Amino acid sequence: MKIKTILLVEDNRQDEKLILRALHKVNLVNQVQVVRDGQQALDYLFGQGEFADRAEAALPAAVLLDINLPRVSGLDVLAQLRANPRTKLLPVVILTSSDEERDRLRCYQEGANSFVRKPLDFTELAETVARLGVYWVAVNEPPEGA
Amino acid sequence: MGTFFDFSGLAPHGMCLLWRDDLFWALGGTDAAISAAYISIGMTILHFILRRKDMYLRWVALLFAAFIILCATSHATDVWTLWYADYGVQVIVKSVTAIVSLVTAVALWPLMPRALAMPSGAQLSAANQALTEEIHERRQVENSLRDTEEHLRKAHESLERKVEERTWQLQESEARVLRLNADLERRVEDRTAELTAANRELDSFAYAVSHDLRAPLRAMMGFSDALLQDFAGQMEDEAKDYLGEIVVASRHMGELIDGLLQLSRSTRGIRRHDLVDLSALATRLLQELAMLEPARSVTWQVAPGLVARGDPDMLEVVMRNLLGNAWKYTAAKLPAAIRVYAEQQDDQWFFCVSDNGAGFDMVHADKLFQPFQRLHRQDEFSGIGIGLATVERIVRRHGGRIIAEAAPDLGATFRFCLNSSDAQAEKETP
Repeated sequence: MKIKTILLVEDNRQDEKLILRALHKVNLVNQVQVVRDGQQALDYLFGQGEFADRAEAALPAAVLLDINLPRVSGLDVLAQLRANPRTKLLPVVILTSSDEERDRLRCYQEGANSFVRKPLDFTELAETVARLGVYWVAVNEPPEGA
Repeated sequence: MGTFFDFSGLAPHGMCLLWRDDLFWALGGTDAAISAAYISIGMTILHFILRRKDMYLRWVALLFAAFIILCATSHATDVWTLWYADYGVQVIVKSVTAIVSLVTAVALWPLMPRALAMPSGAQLSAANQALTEEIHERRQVENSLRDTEEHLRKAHESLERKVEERTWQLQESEARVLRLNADLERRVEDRTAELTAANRELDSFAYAVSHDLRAPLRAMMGFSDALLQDFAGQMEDEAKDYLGEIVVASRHMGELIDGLLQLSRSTRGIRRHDLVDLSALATRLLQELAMLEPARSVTWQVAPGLVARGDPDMLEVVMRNLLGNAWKYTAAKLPAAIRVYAEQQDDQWFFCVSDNGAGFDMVHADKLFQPFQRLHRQDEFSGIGIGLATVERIVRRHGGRIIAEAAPDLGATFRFCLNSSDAQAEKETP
């Protein structure tokens, strides 16, 4: 059976650590790949730049994407993924601190599959991330060819 | 006739006078004088007639001239017959004179009425005088008319000049108004641009607050929690208590950040002007509050038909805060009562949210609508002091105002109106 992975795009080391801790609790931590900015995320998914060796590699089951990212913003990453036939249908979950209505709206307009606000409360955050991980890796059926 | 012109045997007239010198010369002289005078008169009349071809009854004058000249001729024959006995000639002359005299005499009678009807010289001169006077008067009237006309023309010219001047002035002031308008519009545009820029800055500030302040806070709370969960066995209770305090403080800071965000969003502006059913909104919010705290026993009364015009989301924030406060501050009351209604004050409808809760001292009322200012201690009633500040800003953004009235332990009433022309509070009879 092919191992399903999650790509976490997170520039904040502390958030990354907390998210990984939550995924660890549900035994998904080994299936998580972390990149730290928008450009890295695009390189990883398109198999270019430092990830050139991944050109033929399988896509993750889902991408957890922050909006505020260095170099290429989360929304630009999303737009480029949706413009590329290979990643057009790739499930993308926006995981962000923002609770701005316009952010949410723009994300959905750009083709996000889900919009989740990072809860401030640690327990809530852990639960949310764990649920997200389990849902996208175990529950959700990815689109054909993804 | 043969005998008529046969003068043989007849003596001249002088013979009858026996050639007496005195008689002879007296008769001959007077006849000659009369004849000369008549000729003169006749000639004068003829001359007059010839010169005045337009003369009225000219033929009568001609007849008269003929009659007088013939009379002169007959007198001349009288002189002639003193010396010569040509009585035949005299008879002829006198006959003609007689005929013409008779014709003249007869012709004159029927002319009498016409002659009488003819105006006399005095009448004519009087008429002439009257005419002259009339002409004079007319001339005067004409002159005065001409004066008046001149006066009118001058007045007209001056009026036209004034109209032109006024028109020019009007055009000038219109141009000035247009310039002022353009200037004002430009300033409004500039100011709008400045405000928009300031708003955008505020927005990005709020955005930064929302993202960047939350992340470290999440780390503080997260790792404190992780310590508590993962290493609880290795820590003393005091250490756990301290970590707990870090979590509580972080959570409070999170609430403050959320409050700041809420406040900054409330000043972003009104996007919509819909009719909002405040009665339905208040009922829904109170039901939500009751569901969150099912243990509380609160009686509430919402007047039907309360309709406000404004941004529905913003008005919901207003009602949520006011009702939330009423709910919170009646916690210690039994029975707790909350009322939502409208009342008229100074020709203005106010929406009112009233409770019988803790109230506050009106001495501190000036702090009520300032952000992060609270009239109760945290251990009495929790809160961050942002709700009423938000409410006040939203109401102000709608062109309205809010008034608070309260007494300690007796409750509080918040009255707010929105833009007077936009808002309406309609009371329907149930």
